[in-house]
Formats: sequence, C-alpha cells, structure tokens
Amino acid sequence: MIWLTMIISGLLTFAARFSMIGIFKDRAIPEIMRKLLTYVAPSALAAIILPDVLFIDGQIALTSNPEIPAFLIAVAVAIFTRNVIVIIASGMIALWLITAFL
Amino acid sequence: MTDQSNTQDSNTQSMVMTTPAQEFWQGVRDEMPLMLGVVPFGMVFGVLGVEVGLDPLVVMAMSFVIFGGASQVIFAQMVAAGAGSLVIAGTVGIVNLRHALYSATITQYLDGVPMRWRVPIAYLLTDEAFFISLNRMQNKPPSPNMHFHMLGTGLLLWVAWQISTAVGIGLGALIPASLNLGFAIPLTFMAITVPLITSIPPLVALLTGGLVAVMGQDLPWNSWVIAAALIGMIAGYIAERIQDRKARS
Repeated sequence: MIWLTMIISGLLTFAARFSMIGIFKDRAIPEIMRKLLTYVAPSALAAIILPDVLFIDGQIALTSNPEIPAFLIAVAVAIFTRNVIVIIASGMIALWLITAFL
Repeated sequence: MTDQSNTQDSNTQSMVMTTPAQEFWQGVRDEMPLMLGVVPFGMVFGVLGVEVGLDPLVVMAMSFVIFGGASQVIFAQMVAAGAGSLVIAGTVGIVNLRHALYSATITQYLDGVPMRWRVPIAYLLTDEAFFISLNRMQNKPPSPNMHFHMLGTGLLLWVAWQISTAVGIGLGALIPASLNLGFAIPLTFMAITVPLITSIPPLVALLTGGLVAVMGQDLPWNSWVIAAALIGMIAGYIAERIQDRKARS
C-alpha cells in the first residue's frame, strides 16, 4: 500500500510539473497569466520559507526560537553578498552559536 | 527599479548561440553552491524516513519517484502520524501543485523544444533547480539551447538528492540532531529570494505569500502552499498596476 501511495504521489507531482510545459507547447501563455507569473518566485519562496522558520512542531514560536535571530543574521548577510555558500554558512553558524551560548 | 517585462524585451534583441554542452555545464555550475543546502536537506529526509519506520527501500524510491524535498518530508511525517493513503497522496499532490506555476513560467522559455526534452525537464522541475534556471532565462541573452541549462541544474540536484538521501538512510542516528541541519533548507531558499526583491511589487508578493502561508497553516491537505503562492502573485501584480498608474499620472 505504501508503494501505491508513493507512486500516486509521484504521478501527481509529475502531472503538476508537466502540465503547462505540455499544454503550452505550441501556443502562447495568456498575457494576464504571464504577468502574474512574474511574481511566482517571491510569493512561492516566502510561502516555503516563513512557516519553516516561525513554526516549531506545528506551533508558531516567536519567542525562544533560535532560528529567528539566526535567520535574520543570514538575511542581513544576503543583502550584502550574493554568495549562497556564505549566506547558508553564516546562518548555520549563527544558529549553532545562539543555541550553544543562549 | 527595473520592470521585468522591460528586461525581457531587451533580452530578445540580442540572441546568442550557445552549445548544449555550454548551457548544461553552466547550469551545473550555477546550481553548485546550493548543494550546501540541498545535501543536508536530503540527509535530513533520509534520517526522518527511517525514523518514522519506513522501509529504507521505500525512502530511497521516494527520492526517485516523487523527487520533491518538502513533499517527501510531509509524506514521512504523515506516515508517522498514521494518515491514510488517500490523504497522503492528496496532500503531496496539493503541496506540489505550485510546480504547475513553475511549469507555466518555464514553458515560456521552451519555444520549439521537442517533447523528448520537455518530459525530462518536467521531471527535474524542482524549487531549487527552477529558480536558478529562471535567473539564467531572465537575465542572460536567450539561446536556442538554453533548455539545457534546466537539465544541468536539474540533473545535479537529482544526483545530489539521491546520494544525500542514501547517506541519510545509512548514517541515520549518527548525525546529531543538535546540528539542526534542517535549518539549511530555509536558508537556501532565502539566499535565492533576497536578490529578487528589487522593487516594491515583488516585495508585496513576498510579504503576502509569507503572511498567507503563516495564517493558513491549518488549511486542510496543506493547501496553504498553493493558496499562498497564488494570492502572493495576485498581490504582486496589483502592486505593479498601482505603481504603473501612479507613474503615469
């Protein structure tokens, strides 16, 4: 049963990924859709990131959540450099230091 | 402040001829720094999968069949919570519905690309590969072979994902939980996000998407992901319209 669940999950995922690539092969994307899609990146990324940082075990945790200050430090670093490695490393190290000393 | 439609127009004026190999390896190089976040992510998933009692073979197969980090983690968590098959598959489907938006975005750069490439590009379409290749499509001169960039970013991610899943399964409890490796995931996405915020409309899209995601955590079947993505997009577009109207008046 777990295999069937997994295969159906995989097929649904592929269907979403293939959908528009398959449909809009020989025709143009409608103009309004094209304009909306210019904002898919900031919108979808924020949706993935924010709950991940703000929630611990399904509960919102704004205090005594070391990930929040560590994340803010990494955001500050990201404003000054585009170097992904530096950004990730600064966030991880900040988290380790905060959890070790506070 | 740059209007994205303007940058696209200026790109179409200067077409370049790159070879498939050039595009592919550029994709691999562009994707490489993200491995610092993707590898811990894959390991975290491998550890979690075994922890919740899944057969290691199932955990490994998930990385191959689903190939979607966040949805695989949710899959494992739902198995641990004793959820039924229908709910699990439905939730994975809805969580990954945002990929239809990526699909619609990337197809605009796949003019004349035959089906035999469209299928593997679709299979490899993930958050981390899509955003890196989108940056290439939007900010570098177009080339008839630029779809090979997607194959480069996607394939590197795929290989790293399979290996790191296997390492996570193998090492399991040897990886100390105190390292908080899972934190590398939001950091990776944040590193991609910050350079996108060049004007007010994308900032509005970001804040709205984030807010809807946080407020909508209790929505059934994890539908907050797609709800947040869609509402954030609409908010960004409305902000752009308001800005345009102000600029004209």
